[in-house]
Amino acid sequence: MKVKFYFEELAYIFKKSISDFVFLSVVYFLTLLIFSSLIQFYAYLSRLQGESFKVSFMKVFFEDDADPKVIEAIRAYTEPLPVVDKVVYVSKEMAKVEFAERFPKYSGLLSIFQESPFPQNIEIRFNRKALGNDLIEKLTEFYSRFPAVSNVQHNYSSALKIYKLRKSLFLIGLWLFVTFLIFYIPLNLSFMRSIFNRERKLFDLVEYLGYEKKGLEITFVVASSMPLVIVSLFILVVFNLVSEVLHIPLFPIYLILLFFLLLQVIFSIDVLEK
Amino acid sequence: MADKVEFENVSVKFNERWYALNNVSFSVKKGDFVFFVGPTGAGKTTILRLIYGDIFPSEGEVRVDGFPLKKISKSKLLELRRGMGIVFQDLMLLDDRTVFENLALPVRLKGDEDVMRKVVLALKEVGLTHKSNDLASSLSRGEQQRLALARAMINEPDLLLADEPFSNLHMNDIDWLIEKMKAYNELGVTILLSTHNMEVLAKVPKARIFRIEEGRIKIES
Repeated sequence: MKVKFYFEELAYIFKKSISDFVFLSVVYFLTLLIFSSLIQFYAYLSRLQGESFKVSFMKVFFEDDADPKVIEAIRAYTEPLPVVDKVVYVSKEMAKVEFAERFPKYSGLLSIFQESPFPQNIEIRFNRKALGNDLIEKLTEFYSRFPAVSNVQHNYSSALKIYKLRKSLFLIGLWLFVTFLIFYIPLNLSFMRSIFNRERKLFDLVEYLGYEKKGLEITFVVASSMPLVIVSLFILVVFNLVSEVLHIPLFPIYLILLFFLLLQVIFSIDVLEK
Repeated sequence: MADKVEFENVSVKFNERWYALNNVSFSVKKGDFVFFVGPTGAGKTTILRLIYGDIFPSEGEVRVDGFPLKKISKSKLLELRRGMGIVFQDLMLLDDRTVFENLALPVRLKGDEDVMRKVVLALKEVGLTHKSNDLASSLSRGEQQRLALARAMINEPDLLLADEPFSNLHMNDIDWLIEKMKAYNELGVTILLSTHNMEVLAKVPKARIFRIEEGRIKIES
């Protein structure tokens, strides 16, 4: 048997089942578009969360006359916490320098003060584990209750909001994905069966005529996967542009495309086996 | 030289109680013209299916060109099938393809480049040239039978198996088919066909006739 035969049969399968393939292509396109968009949006939120997290910290401000032992005790308690990355004690003088560095435009204002007007504090930088379970809020309340602490402030609010949005998006995406698969699997299998049934006699006949049907089976798998491959390539091109613009990785898109391609090959083989 | 087809104490059991064939032995030499006759369900189709290796005997041995079908590899079985032309009881035509495409299939599978010439010749031989572009499903039963015969013979096999090729045909079509098969046989093709139409037997005086009843060969003449 020659390769030419398989190509001709491939074309024949498409010609005969063109309406099925067109319908499946639309289903593939919408499926991949929706899930790729969700994934890219999730990746974008991850990027935003990361950026916001990088510049976020908590400040525990102390009274001027706070006992250094209390400050040290709070620092020593905080440092080994698993959600904490780094703890730095900032004296009044260091706070003044810090202000000048962070707000150089207003550093001239500081000249009117003999002494540093800023309170001593400890600066806490959390790791990502701190985003869950309202830990940052709980710690804020915890530090506020110390008598030597005058104020506790943090700028994790944006990171926390993005984190919550990301978490919700993940759950919605997962729910959508599972619900979708419940409909997608039988629908796709049914179309595959109907395409295969049109070829069933040919498969049997080929063996009766004395030739292996393996090549024809591979042709069927290729034919049934081809619309998805074409749609996948299109999606890949579109989302490659999106990922370049939003500076997000394309890797998850590859995963979702590979997942659906694998599913398609499994469906085709399952239809052939049965 | 090995016989073309040999059955040695062949039994086929489809279930514990029922033998489709029961201890059948016979041999067919190259160039023989053989009829398997008998009522429906006697085991005629089973014999043909055993020859092209669609089923295997529960007991005994079937040999084609000296090769025991039960013991050979699948690729060898396929090679033996390539030397056979088969006209199936249900014809197995590809209904949604044209007459031309149906005939071209075995030639394309073989990898023969000269598809057009072979198909045109075959169409001419069975008188279906004018139906070349018609769908196989649109042909009359007689025309379909001709097409099935042409497809079986297009790669010039030396063994033709035909399962009930005369059923539901007009006498003219039956005569045409018989004459065609006799012509192939004259060219050296071994022909084995099953039928329950006893009238056709007289049309091939040289034919060997096996009468099958309840899975056994009752009469050989």
